[in-house]
Amino acid sequence: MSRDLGERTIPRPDPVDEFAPFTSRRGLFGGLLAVSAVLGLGGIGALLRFGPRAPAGSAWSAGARLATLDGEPIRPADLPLGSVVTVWPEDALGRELSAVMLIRLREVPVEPTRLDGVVDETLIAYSRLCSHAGCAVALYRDRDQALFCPCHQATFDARRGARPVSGPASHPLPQLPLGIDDEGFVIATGDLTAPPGAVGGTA
Amino acid sequence: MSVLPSPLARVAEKLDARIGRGAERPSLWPIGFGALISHAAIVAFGVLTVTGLALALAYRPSTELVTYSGSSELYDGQLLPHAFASIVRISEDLPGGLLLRRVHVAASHIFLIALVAHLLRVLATGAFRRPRIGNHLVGVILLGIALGFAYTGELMPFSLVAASSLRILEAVIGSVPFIGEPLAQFITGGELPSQRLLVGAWALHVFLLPGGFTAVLAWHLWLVHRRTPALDRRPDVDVDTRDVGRPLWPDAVARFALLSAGLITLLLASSVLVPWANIELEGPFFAAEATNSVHPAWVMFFTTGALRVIPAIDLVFLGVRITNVLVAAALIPSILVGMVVAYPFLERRLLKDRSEHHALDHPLDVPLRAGVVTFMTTVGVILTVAAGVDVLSSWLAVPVERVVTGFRVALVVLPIALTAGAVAASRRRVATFADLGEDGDVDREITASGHTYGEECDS
Repeated sequence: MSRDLGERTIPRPDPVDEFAPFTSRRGLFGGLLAVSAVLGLGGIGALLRFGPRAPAGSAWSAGARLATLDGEPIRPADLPLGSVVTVWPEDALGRELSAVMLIRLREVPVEPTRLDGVVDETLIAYSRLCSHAGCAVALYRDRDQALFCPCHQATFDARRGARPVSGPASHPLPQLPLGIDDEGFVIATGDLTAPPGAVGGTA
Repeated sequence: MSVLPSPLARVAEKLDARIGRGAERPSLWPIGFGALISHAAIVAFGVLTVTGLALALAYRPSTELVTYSGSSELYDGQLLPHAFASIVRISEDLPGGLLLRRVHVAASHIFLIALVAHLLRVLATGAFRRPRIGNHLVGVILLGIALGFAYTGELMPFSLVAASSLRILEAVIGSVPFIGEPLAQFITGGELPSQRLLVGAWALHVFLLPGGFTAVLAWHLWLVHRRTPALDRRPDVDVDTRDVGRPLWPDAVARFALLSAGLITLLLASSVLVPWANIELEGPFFAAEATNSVHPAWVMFFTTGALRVIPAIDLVFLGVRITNVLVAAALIPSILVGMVVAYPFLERRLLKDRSEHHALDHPLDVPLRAGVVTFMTTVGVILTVAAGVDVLSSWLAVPVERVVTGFRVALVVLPIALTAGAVAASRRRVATFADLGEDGDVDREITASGHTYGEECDS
């Protein structure tokens, strides 16, 4: 070299036949064996430790009172026009899969809403978990009575059975059929119309 | 050898003697900006390890609700998940805790930027070719572990962001036909807050991933050493037949020390100036809550962006349901990663080039490569930016639906247009140098500046 920059140079190593570490058959076989042993043992360990458990689902059933997180049951008159409150069954407060939004619509809901699940003309309830990716559909836009998911902007028409109107969701939010009990509190008259949360890949 | 005999010099010389093989094969250390990228990733990983160890001492991986009392005015006296409370305590009550957290987060940004830049450089310059194809695959494993770091790290505070991330992860796993839903059930345990899920993420983030990354990084570096680094072409040495570099002591050690000092200064300065990881902006996990402008780690943006701009899909056949989530967050990322893995094999098959290459190409030297890399980068960048449709919508005062439509158009038009442009530019370049070169063998003899190299150097 003309100028000494502290550099040195040596010949490259001889060409290698294999593109190690993945070619030598014995290495590959040993590697696969080691990996499957680790995964297998880990998998068995995880199964023993955590085990498959009963699928968690919504805790709603006919007759369950709707209650706020503090456990307060709700009367229709508690909700002014255009308001939303997140509610749970009285015996499953704060349980994520049972979270439901109780909405006071401005207009009477229309098909394809399950109209026998609407009380006091404009009081309607939907699961709070998005049918797209399971986020909380945490925002309600009173202007067009739309439910809006802040995670991926899925928008649902609360007046029309929470059908998706824009964004990535393809399924409506499950509806919770409502009734009024003898003491005037809002109750569920059955379970959610579909399992809460994201729609899975198995039809 | 050493100008100033010192303990460090002796250690370096011992190391040098160990990894080099005597005078005929001393250990050579590459210089140049390319090597700086990967060295920055290593420095950042070191900083992450040191700050992470310190943070792990005060962190509590528990979803149990405890009453926080301390100097955070916002959270004093509140019932918080123990994990979140311990992060608040680290930030507000422990001396230097906030600085540690910020340096940790800032270093993670440097780490991920360096890894992505390193990958792009490897792809664009053809550094993945024989004899480094195996090491390229090892590098992809490292990138996978780094994504695992980013994802699990975000779960650690058990904030509102973590809750949404977990729900989305469950949806993505569950979107895979047949095996997805049982698997998601198995992993998440069905309902949040899930104590075992947080403990699992913590074990991954603090033990398994660091251990795995260290081991695979050692493997990666050992392979770099054994195969010798690929180098940029230069006028005085034919780097295809000769390795060029500097000795470990003092050159490489000095360079590494300078880089470390510079990066750590940058990290500290940015931690003072930028409120990284502001726990007060996120808020604790709360069942069934979410809010606007909550985003995952930026390196995961491309899946978020895809989830946002891919239209609603609902195709059902043979018991399979294809949804937006399957396409956006399972298929598209798999295709992108698959392309990174498969491209070296595709290129050597299509170009019928199975020979060894030690010299790095100009990104436009091979039309096929220029096209594929441009396509992948464009799709990745558009999807990454698309994760901000809500933010863009409020900046531009345009309804979010229209911003999404704009991104859908861009996603169809831009990758094709830019790929075609890159291939055309690359073809023109190849044709130009084929005219200049005597035998037209562009790959071997001609470089960016059009000079022919190949004279033997006297070392």
